[in-house]
Amino acid sequence: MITKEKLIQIFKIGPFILAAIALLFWLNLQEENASIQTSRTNITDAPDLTLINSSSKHYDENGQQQYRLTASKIDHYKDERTAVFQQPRLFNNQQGTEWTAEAEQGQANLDSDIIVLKDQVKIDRNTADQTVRLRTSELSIDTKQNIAENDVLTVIHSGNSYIESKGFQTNLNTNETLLKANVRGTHDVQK
Amino acid sequence: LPEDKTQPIQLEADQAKLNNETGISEYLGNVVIIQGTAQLRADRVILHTANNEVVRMEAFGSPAKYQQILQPNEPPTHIEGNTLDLKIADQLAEVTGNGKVFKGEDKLSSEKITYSLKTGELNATKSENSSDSRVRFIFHPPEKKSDKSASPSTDPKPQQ
Repeated sequence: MITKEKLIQIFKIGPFILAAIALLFWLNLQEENASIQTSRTNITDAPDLTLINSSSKHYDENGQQQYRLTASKIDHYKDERTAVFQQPRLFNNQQGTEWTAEAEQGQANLDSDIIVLKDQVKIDRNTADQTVRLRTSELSIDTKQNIAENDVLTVIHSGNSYIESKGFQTNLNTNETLLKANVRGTHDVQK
Repeated sequence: LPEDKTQPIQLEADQAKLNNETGISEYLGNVVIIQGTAQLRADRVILHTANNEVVRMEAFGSPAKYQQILQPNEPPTHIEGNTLDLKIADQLAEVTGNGKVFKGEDKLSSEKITYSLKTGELNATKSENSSDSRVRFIFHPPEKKSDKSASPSTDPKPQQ
């Protein structure tokens, strides 16, 4: 049974114990923050340039607009000559075909015409009489050749057809598409 | 069956080449296409679509095989050949190269066969350039009914 003296003792040393615990917790917190800080400063090349809510037009050597690119954020890394995008969206309208490509993430090497899109990648392609919708987790787009390609599960909806495959390659202008493996599809007949 | 053509078309293949502009798509490797009771199995199939509807299937295989139950309570009709050309709207199957059509135990083999899936009408021709290929037809007449059922009492009496 707890006697009166014991209670008094607990009340006397209790605050010190609580204080010690709080101090330990605070120290631990500081250490954690410190480790996060150091890990962030370990990235040797922090972006030399960051654009927020940017919109840019890209032209080929003949002055023909290849595509327009918007992104909520672009980090440019000078040493790697690489740009990293958040919520990138590409727009292209050539020869009566309009296509848009968007994703949560993107990356481009400034010495090539390739843009890699990742996370919830969507391509919508519209022509006069048809819309083709493509969904996947990752793909690369050659913005010069207008070729999109990957090697992962990809789903394509077109009219009343649904088709999926493991890996695809498509010419975004002519819409010629190669489905590389494991092709499964359904074509709903119009009643 | 008549309602087959209202069923969705399911397809599987190792690879495919699609072209929405021309409406022609090519499926390669272990191609299986199923619509209701109709089944097509081939090494390669070219699908022709118009206004988003499949209008023709060209199948190539060794052999390409097609089967469908054409009438309720009947066995499926099987069609095989090196090339099967199925015209959906006309319900016509043209077979070239080692053509076979069989249903139950009835069987026809010929180099070229044209078969109407609608009427069951059939046209078979041998190959022009090979002398020994002939049209062969094995037909099993339906089993005769037992004699009892054919007794005079059932025959209609001649009018006096």
